Amino acid sequence: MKILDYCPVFLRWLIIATMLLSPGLSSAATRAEVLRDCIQDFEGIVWKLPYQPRLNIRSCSTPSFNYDSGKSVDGRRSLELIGELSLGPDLSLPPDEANAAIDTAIYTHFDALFLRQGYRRADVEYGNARTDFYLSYYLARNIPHEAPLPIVNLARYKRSVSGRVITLTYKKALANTWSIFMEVHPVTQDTTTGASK
Amino acid sequence: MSWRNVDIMLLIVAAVISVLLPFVFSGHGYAPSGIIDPAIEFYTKSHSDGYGGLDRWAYHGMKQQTLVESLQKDGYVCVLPQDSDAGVGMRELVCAKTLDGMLERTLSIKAKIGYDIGGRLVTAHASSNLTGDYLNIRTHIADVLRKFDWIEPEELQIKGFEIDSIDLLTRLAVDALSARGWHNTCEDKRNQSGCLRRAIERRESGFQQVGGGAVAVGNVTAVHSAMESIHLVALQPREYPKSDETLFVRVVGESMWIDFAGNDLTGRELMVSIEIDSEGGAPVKLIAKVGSDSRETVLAGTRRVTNNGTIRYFVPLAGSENPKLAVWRDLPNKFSPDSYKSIGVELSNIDPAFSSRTVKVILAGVSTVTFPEEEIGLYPALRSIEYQAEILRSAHAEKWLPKEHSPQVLVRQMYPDDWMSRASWAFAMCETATKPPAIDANCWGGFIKGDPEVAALLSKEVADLQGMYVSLELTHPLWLRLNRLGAALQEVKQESSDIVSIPPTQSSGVLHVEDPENKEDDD
Repeated sequence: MKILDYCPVFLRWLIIATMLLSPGLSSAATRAEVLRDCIQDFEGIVWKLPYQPRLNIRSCSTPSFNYDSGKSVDGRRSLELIGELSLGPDLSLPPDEANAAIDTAIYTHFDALFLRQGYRRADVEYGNARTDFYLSYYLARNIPHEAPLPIVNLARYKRSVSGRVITLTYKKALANTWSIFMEVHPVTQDTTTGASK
Repeated sequence: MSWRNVDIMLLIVAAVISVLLPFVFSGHGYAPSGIIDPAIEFYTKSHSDGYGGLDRWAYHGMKQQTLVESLQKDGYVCVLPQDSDAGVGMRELVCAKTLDGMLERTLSIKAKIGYDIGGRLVTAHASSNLTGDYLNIRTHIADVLRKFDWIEPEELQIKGFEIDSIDLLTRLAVDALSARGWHNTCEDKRNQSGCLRRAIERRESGFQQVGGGAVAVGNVTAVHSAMESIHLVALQPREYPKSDETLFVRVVGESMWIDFAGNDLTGRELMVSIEIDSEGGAPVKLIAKVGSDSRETVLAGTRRVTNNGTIRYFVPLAGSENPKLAVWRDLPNKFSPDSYKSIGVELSNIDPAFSSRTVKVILAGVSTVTFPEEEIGLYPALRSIEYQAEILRSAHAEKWLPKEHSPQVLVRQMYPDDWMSRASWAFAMCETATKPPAIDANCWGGFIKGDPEVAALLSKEVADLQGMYVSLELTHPLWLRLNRLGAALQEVKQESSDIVSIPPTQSSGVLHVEDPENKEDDD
């Protein structure tokens, strides 16, 4: 009974102590812990980074967590990846072909990752890895370079769960950065026709 | 007794006191404020006050200038040794003072100054000579006064701060080294309130007792100044100009020491040896010696780190004889993989007794998780294995291994519970750095056949990745690589019939994913 009498006082101090301690506790979290919390906030996706090339997560943003970025304000979750433009010692190709091989390796990894976790490929936008930048390289070596080198610039994946449609968008950003966005909408908004492999 | 007699007696006593009083104070003195550690006053409080209190405040190693200035304040006139600029040997400093009055006398102090140790006090002797004593009357009076210690003794061998026990030397040395000791916190801040209070405590009880636990001290760069503050001299030479970046040390087996020696004014020999750990240059042990007594004290030295927080290493260079020059080395780390490229050359310059330990640290660093993505297991095991192998290969790590055993055996001994590090060594030693790489079948077989765990987990890892990248074209470099690894592992598997199958629960942390064909959406 006595404990109950003091409960309001106890609770007040508990709240104050929690408020005082919480900034200290959050600052004690390591970068790895912050990153783990953020990537676990993607509707159950189990993330794995590609075998090659080596990618790092430059930023992660969700409504509740953020890693090297601000929290998402529009409900969209995003992951920004940055990587080495290398596939290791096995890659011995001219520059455009090498970049195409790298892009293809990254896309293939995430495509398999999402498909294995129940997402279906909705649509794919292709681009051309061929650039004029290495024209002199090709000319000097008498290498034909007219044929386009298709790479995936953007791919959308969808999955319906409990009356919601989860849309994942894989996008090639800059030469060495890639982004993945996740949006969740009610099932009525799912108007995608879908594409199959 | 009548009041008249009492009155006469009191007058006589007053007359005697008024005659004697000047003698009582004439030859006495006190420690000049601030020239000594207050703790020294505790240990010398029973010493004679005569000769300006010299026996209370003098100590072996006191600077000649401090000694002279302190005596001059008490009225002594000092004659500096001739050829004092020569900078070598022992010279005599003579200071004298004449006291007038009934017991007119000359007080003389003869001090030996060692110029080999920077013009510092080594021994001192004081004497008092009455001038023109007729019929020895004044000598008799002086003798009576000396019995009551009212005037200075006729002869006095100055002992000053006498370090007469192993306990006292240990306290003195630990106090000088301690991060919270007088030397590090109060020597230049005596007038601050905290230090004033500590000065009173030290004056009342001397140096603090050394407790049972390890004493927190700085790193090796602070050792010389600390020992010099208690007038001990390093036995290993120091480079000129003095630098804490390179120091001479004494190497014994796999340990490294810096030794300091000194005396007190009685000539007692003192020795302090400090063991330095190469990791961060942290002092880890102190051995004090007085005569045949010695005592060990455990130290918890501060490790020196680089700006990015990695520990620096203090290692003796390879050389023939002690003392050996020890230098700071920043070991390579995974934050800058290129740093591994030059480590082979640097290791060959390090004393062999220390290079093997340094190698262990470097190898441990190679397998240390560095990036947040690695820490939470986002990379496939094969990627981490190959990355570790790249580092080992670029550092020519195979050259560091001792030659007594085969690399396969050594690697299994080094990493009994870490299959990924063992696999990294197999890649580093058996795969060429050519484009594309080739696998040496004999070397590969030696590593993989003898290590069923690596064989099984690596095969599973490669198979999982092949499944992940199955849609790649057959000519894609990644597919070619995975196929080549798969074939190399299959070849070993066929040759060896005793590879143990590892249950799936022991897998490498390869992503467990659901089969989309068998998965039903919730909607």
